[in-house]
Amino acid sequence: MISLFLQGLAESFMPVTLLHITFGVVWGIIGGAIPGISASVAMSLLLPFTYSMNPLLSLPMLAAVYVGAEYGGSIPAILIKTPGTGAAAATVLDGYEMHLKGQGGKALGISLYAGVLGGLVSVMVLVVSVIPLSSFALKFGPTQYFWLSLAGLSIVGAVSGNSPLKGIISAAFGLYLAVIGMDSFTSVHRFTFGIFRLSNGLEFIPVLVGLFAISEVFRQIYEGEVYDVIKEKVKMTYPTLKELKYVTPVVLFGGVLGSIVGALPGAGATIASWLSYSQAKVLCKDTETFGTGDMRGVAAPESANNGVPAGGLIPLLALGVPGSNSTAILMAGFSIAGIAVGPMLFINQPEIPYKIMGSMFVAQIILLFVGLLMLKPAIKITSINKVYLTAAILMFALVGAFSTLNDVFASWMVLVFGFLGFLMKRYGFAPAATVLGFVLGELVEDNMRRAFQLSRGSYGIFFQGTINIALIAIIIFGVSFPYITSWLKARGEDKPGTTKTKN
Amino acid sequence: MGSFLNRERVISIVCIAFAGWVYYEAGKFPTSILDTVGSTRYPRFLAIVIGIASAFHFVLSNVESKPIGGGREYKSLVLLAAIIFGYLFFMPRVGFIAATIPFLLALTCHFDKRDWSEKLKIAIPYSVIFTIAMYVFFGKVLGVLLPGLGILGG
Repeated sequence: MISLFLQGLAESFMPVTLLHITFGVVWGIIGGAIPGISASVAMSLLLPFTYSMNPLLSLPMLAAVYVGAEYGGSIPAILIKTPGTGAAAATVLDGYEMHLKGQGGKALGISLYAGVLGGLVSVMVLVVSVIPLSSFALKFGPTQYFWLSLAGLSIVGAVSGNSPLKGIISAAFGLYLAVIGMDSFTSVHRFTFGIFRLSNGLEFIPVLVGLFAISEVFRQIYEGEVYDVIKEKVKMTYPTLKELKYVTPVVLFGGVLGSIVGALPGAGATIASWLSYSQAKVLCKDTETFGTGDMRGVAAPESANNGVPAGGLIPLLALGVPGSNSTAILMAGFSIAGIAVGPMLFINQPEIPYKIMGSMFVAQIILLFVGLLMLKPAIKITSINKVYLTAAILMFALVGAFSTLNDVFASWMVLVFGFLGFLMKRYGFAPAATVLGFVLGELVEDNMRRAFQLSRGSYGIFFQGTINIALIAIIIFGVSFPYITSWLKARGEDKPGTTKTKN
Repeated sequence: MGSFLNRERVISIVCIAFAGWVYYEAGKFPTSILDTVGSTRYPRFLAIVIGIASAFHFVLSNVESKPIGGGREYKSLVLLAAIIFGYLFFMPRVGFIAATIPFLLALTCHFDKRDWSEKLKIAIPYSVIFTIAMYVFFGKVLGVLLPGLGILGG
């Protein structure tokens, strides 16, 4: 295991791979630094251009975008009180306060240090945990995969959107989108509306780019955010060695926490960063300074959210099931390259998962250097007139989709799914859950049908065995969790003597 | 809108109608003796999930819907759609460069709210340089298939 990882690491240091990883990190930082462009949007915009690339280069590049974007989100969070990604929201609390005290540069330096160290810790967690998990997954049959996919989907659905039910509808809609096209078992055309180009099903890229990138552009234009122009000047001062040492325990804790949360379906970087912030507040001494510009308040969420990308790779590589929208895009990258993720990948093509893990490690190191070099340019990105960024994103998305099929039909599909995603966001649905459903759709249906064939149409097979029962219990818990927490909250507020507080 | 037929309930009805349509359409798929499961069962399962979740949402949405926050720039959205329609119509006909320059110019000129003289100073070089840079980078360096130069002769 370690020797294979070292081999993957050595390959990631090859000049061509380094170049791709560096490009990915830079792209990710830029994407993350632009408010509204999350890691998933930055990744989806680059996805079409990986079509003709070697997967041993394109996949590390996509993983590096994820790493860069999680760090990039902290830049506008610290400087303009606007988190570039949802995960950077917790960074605002102390990061912006530090900036107001003239320590913006120091906060960015702490964020970079925490991100890199947290990321490295999480890669180590990934390397150690992925093989035992994938060995366990080898015991899985069709029913276990069916329930596992539904477990991931239901949890993501339940915590996305403005209501758990809308999240579940969004996820089921994603599964429906994967039905469109010719049925691989019977060759029956399903929901193709007589459109020949839909016979092979919906392509990943138009759906992903439309639902993530274009829908966000539509939303920003519709809500007038595209006109926002922010000019901000920041004095550059870097953290001292003593200060870095001071925040290191918090960073190491955040890195481990980020990997664990990242591995859980539906949790993601936003939850990881808030959890790390609150836990740091509980575990550290002298925490009354939190929220007033304490550098530990920057280090804790930043290390956790940078730990999430490698953590998110644990279920993706070991089980073949993505737990978040960014890992769903990465899975789409695997599918485009014709590679099936899951435990068999470690047996058939072990060089690929280990190269990805090695690349994640290298991406963290590159992030340190590129992050330092890009601090000043990235600060400027946050003050660029959004109109020009929006125009560039639109162009990228439409032309990128075109290039995948060499057909303008793909660009029209981007437009259709962009508008659909915009409506979904507007009315509280969760496009991220739809994307996850779409990516997992084939896996869910194929395994369901295989299970039915094995049992000759009997439903009993789905409820046999400990793993199936455990997965069903996880689904029930995942779906009911938001309702249980809101019920407990309401009960707490109704108790006599409890004052209602507004968040 | 009254609290009975509020926005959330209208959304639920739309979702239930969609689920009904999927369920009905799935019933039309031909059956095969080679496949004991058939093409129908899975989409119908999804339709049932959507239908049940939507029905629950309808029942639980018994309070007045809160207005959706943010601005409402209908005109900008319609104009954006028109510009994209134009771009996608012309791109395969006139090529990437000839279509992208006016596309970027139209977008930036419309959405940049500064004086014409001021915005054109940025919009024109931006549109031309960015388009050519993207063409060279993706088309020539990365070898990505971009729409040919079209009437510019590529």
